[in-house]
Amino acid sequence: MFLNYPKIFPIRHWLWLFLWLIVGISCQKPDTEIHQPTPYELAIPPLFAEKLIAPVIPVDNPLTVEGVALGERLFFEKLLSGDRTQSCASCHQPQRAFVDNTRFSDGIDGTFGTRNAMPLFNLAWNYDARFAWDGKELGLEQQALEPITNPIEMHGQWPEIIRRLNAHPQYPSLFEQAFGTPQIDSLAIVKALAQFERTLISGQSKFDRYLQGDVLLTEAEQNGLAIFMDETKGDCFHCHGSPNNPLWTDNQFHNNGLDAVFTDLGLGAVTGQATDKGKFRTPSLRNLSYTAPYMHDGRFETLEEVVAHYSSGLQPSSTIDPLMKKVQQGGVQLTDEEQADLIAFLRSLDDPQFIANSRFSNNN
Amino acid sequence: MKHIALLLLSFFVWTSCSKDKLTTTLTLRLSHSCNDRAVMASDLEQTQYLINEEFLVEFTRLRYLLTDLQLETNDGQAIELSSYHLIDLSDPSTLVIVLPQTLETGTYPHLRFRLGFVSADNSDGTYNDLNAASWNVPMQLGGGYHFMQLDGKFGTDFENINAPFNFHMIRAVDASDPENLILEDTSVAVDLGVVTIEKDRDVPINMKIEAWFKDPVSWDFRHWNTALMPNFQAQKVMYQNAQNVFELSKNLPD
Repeated sequence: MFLNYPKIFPIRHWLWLFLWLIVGISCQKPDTEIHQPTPYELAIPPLFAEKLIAPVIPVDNPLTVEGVALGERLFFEKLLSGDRTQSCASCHQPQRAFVDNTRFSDGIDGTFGTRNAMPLFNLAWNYDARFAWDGKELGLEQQALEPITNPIEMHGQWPEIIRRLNAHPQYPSLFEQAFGTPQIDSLAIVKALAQFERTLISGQSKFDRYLQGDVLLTEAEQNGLAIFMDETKGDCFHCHGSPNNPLWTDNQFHNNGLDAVFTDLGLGAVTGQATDKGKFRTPSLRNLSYTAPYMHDGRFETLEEVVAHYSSGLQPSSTIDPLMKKVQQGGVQLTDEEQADLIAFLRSLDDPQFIANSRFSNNN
Repeated sequence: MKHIALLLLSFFVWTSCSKDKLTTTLTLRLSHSCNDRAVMASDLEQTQYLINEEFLVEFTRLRYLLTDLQLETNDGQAIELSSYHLIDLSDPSTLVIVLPQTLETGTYPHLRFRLGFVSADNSDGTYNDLNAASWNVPMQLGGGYHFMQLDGKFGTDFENINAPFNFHMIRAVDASDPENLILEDTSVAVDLGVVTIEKDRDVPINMKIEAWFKDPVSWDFRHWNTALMPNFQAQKVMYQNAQNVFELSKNLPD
């Protein structure tokens, strides 16, 4: 039939028409253009770059500008809680280095937990990626899943949270920009939250600037550093890092002599090992002035109480770390002046720029 | 004619075989023992050992730094294998060292390494992975890095194994005058002697932990237990006792 048309419309014209049709179709914009998010460059402090190995960024959740922005918005989003009254930031407040100021935090139902909220910074340098006081969360994404549905925390239900976000005028497009799909699910939510949390970096304390030659330490701070680094005195460096490990934590698990009888098994409840009972993750010593109270159960209200514990309050137990020296004498027996100097040094690790960083506050 | 062809074939086969020496990569496998019993990660804080027929000890942590791994060939050439490895008994991935070089199979007269950095390499804060592992030595002790951390508890009867010890080896330093530190390179040169490298066969290296405490100096835990890093004499005794700590391993009972 086609071959009968040449007299009216020569076959070469048909071929041209067909060619232009193909070209036209291929040049047309697809209806659903896939958005490629923009890679996010982590602002690594010079000291971290000089002293530490690279931060841990999962290959299946690379940082992107859109993902981080979405994570920040979700971090402050009360739609993530059951009754829309709490967000992650309710207990992890930027102006307090991402903790609250209570011993235990209350959830939406007014129920209190049994652990002190952990501060959030420099999380991408936790190389073993075991999070929470007891190490039960393997990876930041996994950690972010937990409080949203925990009945004594935000007490949300994933189907309802996803419904709320889908019904929101902006979230579907924000998810699409971040992950290339408007589909919202729990995995995408925690991926965005984890991306934001990895950008919370504290590396501009007075002591950081001292190491860079910009400021001097006071005499008390210098004495405190010497006590911190002295194996016969504070001996803090074995667990809490040093000027060469500016995280100021080893991110490992230790029993630091809080209790002779365990009421909270810590890592032991996670691994089931008797040898892990009473062990908790070493917290960073950065930003201590903003993160009281202290220890996994917030039992110490002041830094003075904390230092006094290591000096004379150690409790023996089967799993106490051998690095807790002189446990039979109660601790390392620092003088009042030594304790004061040690605290002066610890406060030099405060990072006021971190807690004042407007980028980490709710800009939405 | 047939015989000549056979002869030629045999010649080619012989010459081709003689040229193709077998090669392989080398894998070192670290093990640990105490009193001829294997010490595994699961023994930490669990198993007690009798040291010097007097002290009952249990171990909490064992980490150490192997450096300057090298093989010596029959003609005296040194083959540098790798620069350093941080070994952690509780981390199985560190107990197997797969070296990148392709080596000829056969017998080598010396497999050598050191425990800890020699002073020239023991510069403060320069190894980022070791910094991240909090392996540093304070500057008031000369800086650099630990050689070994063996932590645990000791006692003299089974009911009271509760006194801590921190057997931490570093470059020995006399810090009696803080303004004038006297540093002594106590990194330990280890020569395991003849080693045979075969295809698909690891070279097992064992640390005899009890050797740290007995030969030539019998270690008294009551006298020396914690805060040993600034203890110049204790560091020198560690160095003395370290000389026979490593061996090419034998099969240990579980």
